[in-house]
Amino acid sequence: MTLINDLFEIMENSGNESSLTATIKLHPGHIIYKGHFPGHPVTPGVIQVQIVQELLENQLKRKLNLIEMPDCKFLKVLNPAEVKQLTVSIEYAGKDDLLNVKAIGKNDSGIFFKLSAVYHK
Amino acid sequence: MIIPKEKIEDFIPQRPPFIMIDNLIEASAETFRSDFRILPGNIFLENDLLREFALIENIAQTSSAGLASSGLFFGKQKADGYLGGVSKLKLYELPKVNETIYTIVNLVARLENMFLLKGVNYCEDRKLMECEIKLVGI
Repeated sequence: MTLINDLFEIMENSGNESSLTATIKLHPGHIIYKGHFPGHPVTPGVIQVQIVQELLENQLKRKLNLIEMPDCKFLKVLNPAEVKQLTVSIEYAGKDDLLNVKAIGKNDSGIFFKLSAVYHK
Repeated sequence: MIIPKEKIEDFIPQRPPFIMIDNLIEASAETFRSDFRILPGNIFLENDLLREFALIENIAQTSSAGLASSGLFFGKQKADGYLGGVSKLKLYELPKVNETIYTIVNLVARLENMFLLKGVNYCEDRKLMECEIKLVGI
């Protein structure tokens, strides 16, 4: 299941060789919300982690494989019907074939998630 | 068998296509075990491999069902709460479609309505992933 252009779309995107900032719009009609939860859509934490990876893959134009996620916090309930736009900021630094990543997802109301992860390039 | 697949929806709030657990096999005070067969229609399949997001969700749902069935979720039969965090995650291998994964979760600590649990997914004798999760009951 690829989420980009299906569960979410990129409204704005900017970045350089060590960071990116994307403003995304979530689609509350996506099939996963039928099960999470019926009549009460909440974007699952694991889906927020997948969004980060897809944004990074989109920027780097290559597939990444998760190796480790030392920490990830979900700080606010993300309701895609209420949260129209979310800004995801990602910093990354590569060493050999590994990519160390830190990401934050937020909007005007506050921070939804923060994570640190290591991917294989 | 503590909770068979047919009854699992009585103990967790998720519904298809977001259910990532079949049977809750064991639920003692501190250890929960489940199984889950990866069917071809699973939404987290990619090139016939089940992505790590399903493995994390499987640990969270095993935790919710285990806590609910053992009355630890404030005596409520159904776990209501959310995933507050995932940490110390290490991914070793992704399982394939039609394989069955087995998951063991240990309750590490509890502070009022917050639960810290450690989960490991296996397929036969291969370790797939391990992580700690924080569940917050509401």
